[in-house]
Amino acid sequence: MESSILSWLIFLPVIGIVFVLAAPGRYARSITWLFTFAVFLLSCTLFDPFLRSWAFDGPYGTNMHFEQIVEWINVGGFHINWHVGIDGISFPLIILTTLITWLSAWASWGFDKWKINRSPKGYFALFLLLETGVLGTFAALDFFLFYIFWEVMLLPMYFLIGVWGGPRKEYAAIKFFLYTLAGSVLMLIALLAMYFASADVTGTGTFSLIEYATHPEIAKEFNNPARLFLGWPFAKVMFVMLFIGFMIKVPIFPFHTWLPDAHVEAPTPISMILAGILLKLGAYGFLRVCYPIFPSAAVWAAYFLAVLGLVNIIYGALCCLAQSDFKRLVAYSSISHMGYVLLGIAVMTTVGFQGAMFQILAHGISSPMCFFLVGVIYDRAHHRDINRFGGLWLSMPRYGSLATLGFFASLGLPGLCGFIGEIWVLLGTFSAPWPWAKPVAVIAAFGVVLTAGYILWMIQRVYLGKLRKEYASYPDATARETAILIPMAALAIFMGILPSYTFDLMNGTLADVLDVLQPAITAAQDVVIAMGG
Amino acid sequence: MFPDEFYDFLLDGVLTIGLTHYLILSVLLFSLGILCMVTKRNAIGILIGVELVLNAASINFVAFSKYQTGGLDGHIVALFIILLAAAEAAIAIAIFMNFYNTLRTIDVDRGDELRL
Amino acid sequence: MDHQYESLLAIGVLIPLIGFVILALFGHRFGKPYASYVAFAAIVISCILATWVLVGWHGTGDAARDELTKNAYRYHWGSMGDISIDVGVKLDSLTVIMFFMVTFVSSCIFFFSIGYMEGHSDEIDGQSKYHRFFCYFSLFAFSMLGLVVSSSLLFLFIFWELVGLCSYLLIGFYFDKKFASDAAIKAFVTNRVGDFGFIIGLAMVVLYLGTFDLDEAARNFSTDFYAGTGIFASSINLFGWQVSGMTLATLMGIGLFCGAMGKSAQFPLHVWLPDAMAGPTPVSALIHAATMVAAGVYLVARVFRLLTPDAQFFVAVIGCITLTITALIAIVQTDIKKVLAYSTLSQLGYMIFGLGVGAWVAALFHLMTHAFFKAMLFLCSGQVIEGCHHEQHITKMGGLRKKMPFTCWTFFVGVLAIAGFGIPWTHAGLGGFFSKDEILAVAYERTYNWHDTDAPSESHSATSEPPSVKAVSAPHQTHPPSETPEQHAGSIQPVRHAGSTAFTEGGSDDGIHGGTDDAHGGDHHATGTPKKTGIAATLPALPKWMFYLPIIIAYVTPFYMMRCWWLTFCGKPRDKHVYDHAHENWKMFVPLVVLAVGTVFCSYYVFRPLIHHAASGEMGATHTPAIVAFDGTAKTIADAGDKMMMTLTHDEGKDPHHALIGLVGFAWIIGIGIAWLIYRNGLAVGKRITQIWPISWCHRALVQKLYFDHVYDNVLVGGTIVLGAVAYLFDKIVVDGLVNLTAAFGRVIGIFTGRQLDMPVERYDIGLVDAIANGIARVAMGIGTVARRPQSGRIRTYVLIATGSVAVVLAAALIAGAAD
Repeated sequence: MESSILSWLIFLPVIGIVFVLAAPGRYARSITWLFTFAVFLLSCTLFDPFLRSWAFDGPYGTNMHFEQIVEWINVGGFHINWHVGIDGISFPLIILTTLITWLSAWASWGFDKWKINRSPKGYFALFLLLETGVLGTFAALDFFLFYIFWEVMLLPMYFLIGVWGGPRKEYAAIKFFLYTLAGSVLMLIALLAMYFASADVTGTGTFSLIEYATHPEIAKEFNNPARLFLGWPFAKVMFVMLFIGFMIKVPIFPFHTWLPDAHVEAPTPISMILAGILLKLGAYGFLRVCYPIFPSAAVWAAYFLAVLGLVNIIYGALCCLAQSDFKRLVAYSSISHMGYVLLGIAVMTTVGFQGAMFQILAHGISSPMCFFLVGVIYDRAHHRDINRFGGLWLSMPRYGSLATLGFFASLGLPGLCGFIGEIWVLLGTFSAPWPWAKPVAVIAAFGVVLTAGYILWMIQRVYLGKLRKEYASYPDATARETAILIPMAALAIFMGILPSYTFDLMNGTLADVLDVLQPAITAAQDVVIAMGG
Repeated sequence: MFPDEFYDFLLDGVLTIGLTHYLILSVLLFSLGILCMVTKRNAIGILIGVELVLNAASINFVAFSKYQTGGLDGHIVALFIILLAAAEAAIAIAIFMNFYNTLRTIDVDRGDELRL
Repeated sequence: MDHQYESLLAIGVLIPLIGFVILALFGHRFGKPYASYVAFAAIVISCILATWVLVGWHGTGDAARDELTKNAYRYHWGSMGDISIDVGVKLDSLTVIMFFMVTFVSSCIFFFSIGYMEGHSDEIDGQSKYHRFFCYFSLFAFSMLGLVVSSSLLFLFIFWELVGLCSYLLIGFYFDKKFASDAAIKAFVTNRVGDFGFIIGLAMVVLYLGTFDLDEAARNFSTDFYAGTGIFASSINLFGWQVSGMTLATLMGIGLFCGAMGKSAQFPLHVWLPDAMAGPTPVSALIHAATMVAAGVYLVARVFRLLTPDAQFFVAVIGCITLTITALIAIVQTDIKKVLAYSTLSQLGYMIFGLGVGAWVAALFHLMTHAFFKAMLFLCSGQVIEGCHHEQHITKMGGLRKKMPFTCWTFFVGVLAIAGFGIPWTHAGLGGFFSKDEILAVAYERTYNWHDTDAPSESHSATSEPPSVKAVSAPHQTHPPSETPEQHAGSIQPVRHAGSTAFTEGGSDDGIHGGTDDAHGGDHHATGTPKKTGIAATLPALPKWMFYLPIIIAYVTPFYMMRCWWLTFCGKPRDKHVYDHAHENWKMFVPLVVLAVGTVFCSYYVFRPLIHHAASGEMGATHTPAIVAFDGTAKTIADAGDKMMMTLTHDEGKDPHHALIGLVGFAWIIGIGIAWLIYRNGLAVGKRITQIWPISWCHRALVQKLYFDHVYDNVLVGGTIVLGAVAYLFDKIVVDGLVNLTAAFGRVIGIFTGRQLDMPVERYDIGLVDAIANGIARVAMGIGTVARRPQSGRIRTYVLIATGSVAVVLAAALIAGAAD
């Protein structure tokens, strides 16, 4: 099943960059739109195997599709491959990426009306580079390649925020950059340590993420408690380092403060990408790197991670209540929603995993929608102070209705996408076999009350109430804005009403990952039982 | 009226033209050339000084060739120097033309920087 | 057509959805009044289908009905882990009548709305939002019907939230008004608090019973109970509190009930319903009186089989508290809609209380009758409000009888119905009379005749069957007989230690015996010595206050309703402007009349038998042990059959309980009479009474709604917002502070290494490395400075120096040579 389609997919935006740079600046956005759309169409051709029953045959790692392995760097004993492939974890995320990037490219259409509209070529070239980085990260199965794409994605984001951002853009961009870079450094250390550890076992080391998890000897050695790294058990140290690297991206509680700043300063399309896709990379990292490779450490850290997820949910929601900046509120709500993802992953049950993955996608639909909704109104009002709005549903009825839909999707209203992820995670957590799972689920369930509180309060202040004079003349959502919102709204409804179509794309792989984890979970359960719990 | 030594001197040293005379001439010429180079601010003057110095050198070559080594080596070098001086003068005058075109003068003190 | 009824119901659910989609997409093009016709047509079609199903169902035999219920189609919607989530129509009598009730009442109210919205009622800040109103209404109809037919708890929850959404949107319909949007938020968030419990309950159902299907859950619950497995063998640690077995099952029930507490606005979550009156009056009638708020009751009825005795007791306590305090608050309300809202709360409390004490049939019967008369009352109030130019205060009305006769008298029918008009010892009475009496009768049984039923007195056993022993009915023939009753008998023991259970020794035998020939619950054969069996034995007797409070409220209810009616329609007009403006609109009183007729005739004779049948389906088909399902009173279990009505006050062929009749049978006339005495001459007497000392005190507290809103607003809402602010400050100062501190630390190190060691920026910096480098450079520079001096660029100088140098060298050579 060698196939170069993924490589084409990854590098199509790069070809787009060439065109953007070569053509006059006024064509940059059209070219970007065309290329992102082409990428989206191309990614849709990947659907084929995932709609068939054989897509998930065999254990973890054996059912990669569109896999391509080309020897890339072979110097000084390092074997680094161009190894790409997708399975049920990465495939939905790739579709999400191509879709949201396309919509964000469309959302960049009003570029020339922005306050900072210098150098459209630079903006759109970086935009396309960002897409390459993200797609590469999702498709990479070689850890080194993964790392490279991870960094590739970092740089354009830095410039996109730092150049085209709001008043405090430098602060936000540098904060984002340094934070993520700190995570990358930890990942780099882990990368090398894991390579040499695997070299100890097989003689020639490997960077393959799949082999780390499935090669019996490597897996055994990695999780061998006697193997130490700086005096600590290897698996735990690696897990923690990788986890911190990824949790910064998600972001999880103590490392989350870059997110509101970055969102507030970033231009609307960049916020959409940041919330819709980049945050998902961290969660994807958990599922691809942390968990299958270090099951023993995953079990060891489960409680702590679940509590972190819980803190994210509650704490993020509480912070939302205190916001008066519209975009910052949506940013904090992202933090709250991503807490469900971590919680679902941390409990390591089938339902929890499914819920977490679904929540990733659901949030990938609803949060770009919310950010775009904020952007629409920001384009008109040039401020984002919730308390200064009012009655917008009256002056902009179509926009108001779509906004209500979007925010209710974010709220987790049944029939819309947010609900499925949340309820799956909550039920998965509650039914998890850990002794701490039930109280955690109970507290997490309280998040739904807070979520309703801050979303409705925001809707009241922005969309309801008497129409203020200064907003009375605002035009309703334009055809372009509506066209951007409609796909997201439609997906939110579709995923909410018929979630099983989405679940079918990923459940097989999630089950495979759980199979990898299962021995460690069982062992931990035995300990619990032996201790009389 | 003078002691014999004086007449000897005159005969050997002054009246009998020998190497010393050439050398004295050469020294004078050289010194005049240097003097000319040092005192003149006019580029042409300096060029003349240079020519004087070169001629002094030519005289030296010829003189030593005649009185010391024999042969024609010195003469050849002298001819070579003449040739060279001509070429050098041509180049120098071309430079001065440019110099003049740029600065509207050929006062070399005005050209004390390495650019025009 | 095996699936005829379900298909019809399913279509009936979907038609309003189609109406919603059409209105949502093209509603603004229809404009006024055509948008309303779409919605109305949709609901009428649903209503016709519902009627068709109702008639067909009514004519179907019990056995055939059970077959249909059992074979209902299920669509595989998805899977949650290993649990398949199937969705379908839960086809049974309860669904059929609920469906009919919802569509019928909705049709009336939709029609009413067309009239109501004719004026300026559809305007928000001057803009007409006519289509939007009917769009929401259609969505609501769809959600509510979906809720009614759902066979799966998950789908019940989904529709549950959707009706909540519609409620939110419609309460906040006049969203230009702050209080309306505030009320909408309050409603939604309060409901979410209840849903929090619902989610926990749902999670427990999924975890311990392994299914979302209502019937299957009940079956598994029963099996687990007998086998001592599942939830009864589980134990969890909840915040240090070890919960196991029966207590765990109780928690599950309470969790599910929390949802109902939110939606049916039970204490302590009742505060949103009065505020919800901010919505247009048809909304109040449809959503906040007849249908949606009854969904909580419906949910409790549906999950009744999962409630343990303790959970049932909890339900009863909550219902009792609610019905009491809200009725008291209703006395002092002056806003006509608020009076009705509080009376709705009180009636919902009755229903919940009824379910809690086991009066399943009576509570649902009350739900039905209440839906009719309360919808009618609200529509009447809508007529009054619309007619009186949006004046809602009854203190400003009065004498409207002449201006709006239809409204007046239909309202009066409603007053009688809610008051429980009926003549004791006869069959004459309105629906509310029977349903309320039935609930009270069961409460009486549970209070006074509960402990001695193991050895019933002679007089009692002569006239009545053992109260309540519905404990173990037969497994349905088609259920997989993995657990036969005989097996249960042996395996009952493990449950005994599961906590609070303490059932009688002979209980299990008796239950099994009683169950064998009790296929449909209707023809239960007496088994001789009545004994409470199984879990039923652990049902506690009710404390006496839980019997007397509802009785007292039975006197209060007619009082405040009469007060409301009299002050509105009778006496002298108190506000000339209001009086002059008052008028009636035929589009609005036609539905009133229809509902009034329904209130008078329809509910009792059609609904009661069907609900009765539903009880047997719900309770009988799944041999659930936890249930003490009173059917009316316990007496009727034995000989239900065609004797539908078994209240204490009239008991066909048996002695009525004369003392009880004396206690409650005339409550309606006494309550109405007192109200008439006080208010017949207007407000003056009432005002004077409220100034008497202890009453004035209570009056103030009641006017302030017993300070619930104050406490919630200031403590809970305020507390949460403060907590949010604190969290955000924490985020800004501590978390972000730490980040910036780290950055600052990095900067300090950077500055130190940079300035002191590497390169100075300020004057006082050392910059060691830089200093060394600069030193070297400076030396080089100095040398250069010196060396460049001769390089004047003057040829003359160069020549001079050159010659001078040569001269010097020569001179030196000469001197050296001379020295040699």
